[in-house]
Amino acid sequence: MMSLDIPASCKQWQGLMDGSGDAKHRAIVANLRNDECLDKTVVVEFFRRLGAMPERKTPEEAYSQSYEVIRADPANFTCTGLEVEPEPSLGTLFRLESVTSLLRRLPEECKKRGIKKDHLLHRIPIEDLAVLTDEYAGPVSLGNGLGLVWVSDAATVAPIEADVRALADRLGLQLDGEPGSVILCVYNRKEVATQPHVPRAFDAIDQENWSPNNDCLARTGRTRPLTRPAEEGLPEAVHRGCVVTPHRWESAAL
Amino acid sequence: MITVEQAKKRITNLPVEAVRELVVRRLMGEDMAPVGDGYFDEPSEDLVIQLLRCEDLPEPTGDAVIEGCLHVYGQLFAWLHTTKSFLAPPSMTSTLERACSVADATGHPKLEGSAQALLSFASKTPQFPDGSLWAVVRGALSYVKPSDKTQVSLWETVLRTPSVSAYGFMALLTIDPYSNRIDRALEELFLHQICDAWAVDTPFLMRRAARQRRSNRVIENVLSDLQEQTSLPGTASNVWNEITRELARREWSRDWFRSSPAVFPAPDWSYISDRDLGPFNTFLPKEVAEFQPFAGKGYVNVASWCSEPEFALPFNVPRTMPGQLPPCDMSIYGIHSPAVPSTAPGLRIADEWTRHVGKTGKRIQIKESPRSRTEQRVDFTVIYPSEDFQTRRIVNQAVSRLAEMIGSTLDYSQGPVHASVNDVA
Repeated sequence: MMSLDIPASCKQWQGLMDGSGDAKHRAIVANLRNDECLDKTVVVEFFRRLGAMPERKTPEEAYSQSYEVIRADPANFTCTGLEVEPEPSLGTLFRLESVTSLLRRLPEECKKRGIKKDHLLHRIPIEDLAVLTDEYAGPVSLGNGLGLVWVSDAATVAPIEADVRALADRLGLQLDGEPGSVILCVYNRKEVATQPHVPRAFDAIDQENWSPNNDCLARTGRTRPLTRPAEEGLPEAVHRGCVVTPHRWESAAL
Repeated sequence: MITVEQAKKRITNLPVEAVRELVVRRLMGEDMAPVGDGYFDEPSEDLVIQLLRCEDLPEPTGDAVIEGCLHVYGQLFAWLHTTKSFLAPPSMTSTLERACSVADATGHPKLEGSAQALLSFASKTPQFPDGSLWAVVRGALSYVKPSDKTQVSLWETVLRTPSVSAYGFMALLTIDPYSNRIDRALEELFLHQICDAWAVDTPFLMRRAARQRRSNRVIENVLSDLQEQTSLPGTASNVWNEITRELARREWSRDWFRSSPAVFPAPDWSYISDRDLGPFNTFLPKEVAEFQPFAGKGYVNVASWCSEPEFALPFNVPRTMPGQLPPCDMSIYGIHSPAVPSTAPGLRIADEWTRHVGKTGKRIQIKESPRSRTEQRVDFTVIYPSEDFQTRRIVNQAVSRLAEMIGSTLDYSQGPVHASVNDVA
């Protein structure tokens, strides 16, 4: 295991994170510590910027600061893993989307129909949801707060996608807070302007259910299932946010 | 979205002041909510939303969450009343959107006054930016109460604001779904949609109104009035055609014509083929394009189409023209059809195929097998690219739906058969 070289200016940050009552905070430091394939210069730069931030008081603040370092400069810190292997592997990309994300994915479509977050949270009637999913065939804007899109391989997911809960488990996703439906999003890798990468710990700076792939020559990441054995993890990659036209954009009941 | 339990866990052991500060920081964007799991990202305000939803939060903590929200609203009002440009600084517009999102998702009664005051301010400020107006309207919409006529004029102003008109309609629908105001609003919106290119989906709103009233009468009323209005001398003669074209785009709105033939004689939809049906139309039988009931007793008239010229070839062509087709698979489906109604609408069936199969953008041919028709069974063949499991799955799903829709059962005794075209040929 690589020893994470944390400078003195960040020891207090480390103490707060390691000593936090929130497993998520501890997981972030553990991921940084366990990822043996991180570029050393990027790690040094991360801690330099983190150390220059004001002293934090709570684990929440410490966590927020580490996220902020990445969010402020994603070009430097994210998508630094190896590019995933060439097609046909991961030729068609798969995502499980929350219905509440529709407001951000398709803002204009929601506006045209007077749909609010409140409607999406409270089990929007299926025929109304279908207008934004199954009937919708246009472009969709993808990307999380860091401008990243996490994807799996559609070919691997297809045989198991009928059981959404089992699929979410294997993807490492918690569905507890989700309303009655999720969205299945499938699009061609060729639609993505930048190459997908093997995820590294800085991409996962906001993630608890993630583990680094420490085969530094591996050309695919692997999800960490929530309750199932690690071998049931699915291929995983990350690419920069972009607009795609999914060839499947369908709602599925939970 | 995090759960209420996760939100509670996030503030465990935090003193009340720290909770208040956390709420303020989340809404102001100073704490960028480093949470999510890669697939479901979580906006900053989601923690605040879930804390407000939590019913068993200790009272001082709950009060601290509300105080944090109200503090942010106070900052926003101070900014709105002094700023010379609503577009700068952008962080305040983001704060505005986050604060309104909390009101939108929770409808918390203690935020009502602030949400309403924001909408009142925005409605009197023509230069209020569209993006922020959207957020403000959504926030205030949570506090619209049935039968509260005092808010009608405010929401009618919103109805007449192009970028948020659908929300104005939703508010009026909440206030009184049975009011004639609803019918007038729908007519107004449909005309704006057609004539002024307003970004509003009026058929969708009509369907919501009908659902609310539990009757399709509102749809009939609105369409009758629109037909009458657009036929008046001096009105553009193609407005009604444009309205029917809009209704023809989706199966559920086409159904409105089918269900009320006495009110609406079947319109001439042959002209929609070029623009709306694309390559599909080339293969539509004439009776389908003109929406006549299908008359072939016991048979399903499945239209065939393709998006590539080479796929227009008959099924047995690969034998004689090797290399003309890319590698492809075929499935043969038998539909067991004793219950097929003699009026099974061909367009509806074909459209179902388009929706489920054509949407993939794959090159697919669906062809009825000419020699397999009997009174009980009709076979048809689907050809699609090899090793394309997605398409295969969608085709399977579409066939099941098709069978369900026409009240038939799928006969798998001879299919589906997956094989390469060359093997079969």
